Amino acid sequence: MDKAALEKMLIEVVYNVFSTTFFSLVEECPDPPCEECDDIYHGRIEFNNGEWGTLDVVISRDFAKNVTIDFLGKTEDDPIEESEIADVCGEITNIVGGDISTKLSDITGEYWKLSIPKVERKNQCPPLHFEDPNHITVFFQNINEDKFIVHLAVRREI
Amino acid sequence: MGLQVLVVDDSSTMRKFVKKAVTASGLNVSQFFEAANGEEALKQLEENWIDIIFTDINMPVMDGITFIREAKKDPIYREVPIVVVTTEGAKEKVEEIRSLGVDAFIKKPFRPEDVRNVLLDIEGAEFELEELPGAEGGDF
Repeated sequence: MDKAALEKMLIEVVYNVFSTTFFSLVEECPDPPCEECDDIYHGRIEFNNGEWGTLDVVISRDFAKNVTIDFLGKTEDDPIEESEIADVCGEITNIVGGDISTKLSDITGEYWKLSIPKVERKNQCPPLHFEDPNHITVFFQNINEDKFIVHLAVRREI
Repeated sequence: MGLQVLVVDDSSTMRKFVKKAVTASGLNVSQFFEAANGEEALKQLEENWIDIIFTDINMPVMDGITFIREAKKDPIYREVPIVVVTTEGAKEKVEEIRSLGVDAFIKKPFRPEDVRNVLLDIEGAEFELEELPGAEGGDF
């Protein structure tokens, strides 16, 4: 599978996950969301203990909060716990990672075991293993131009 | 009389989402019980009458596969319908999960209406689902 096909797959998975479960339409955007990196949630999930790859989701806290409000059917005036926002970021990472793992398992005929997702709140963008030879980084935004990053690193032949 | 429903997922927000989706499906629910992993789920089964279980697979402490195996060993719990709600979609994994005797499978990401469709399809359970206003099959 070449890099372009992997990127296409990643983009389709992210569109599908956000529109289906998180009631949010997102699209690719050309610019990295660096100006929003001072308060972010970073979700990471590993494939086969990281030996076969990792998936990172970096999302601004404001965007994550809005997604959480929609996901839980709340309004902006309803109280929202920070743990709920972190939990939703974990679930975004989990569902995107799960869909990628399913597709890669089908392609390779081997089971891409998922880890439990880890989520941390940070004040700067984490290192995303750009040194991996087979990595894809895609920037997304919603209709309000809230941006987020999805980074997929694959460490084996597919 | 409403059903007692157990929702098992390590994500508290996903438990809330599943509960909303089950309610929106038209299933007459009297009470929801929650568990964050298989171990807690077995405790809930011991302490409460449960009519149907919705469980995730990928969870810490005790995963969903171990939980289902344990539940199926018990002559009473084994009769409780189990719906698996999971990100797992790899053929090999799905076959493993189905071979445990689960009644239905919902793959994340899913829409709330998928829950209704799955409940209508569970063989032998014949859940009575309320008619939903607006559309046949459910308009969420």
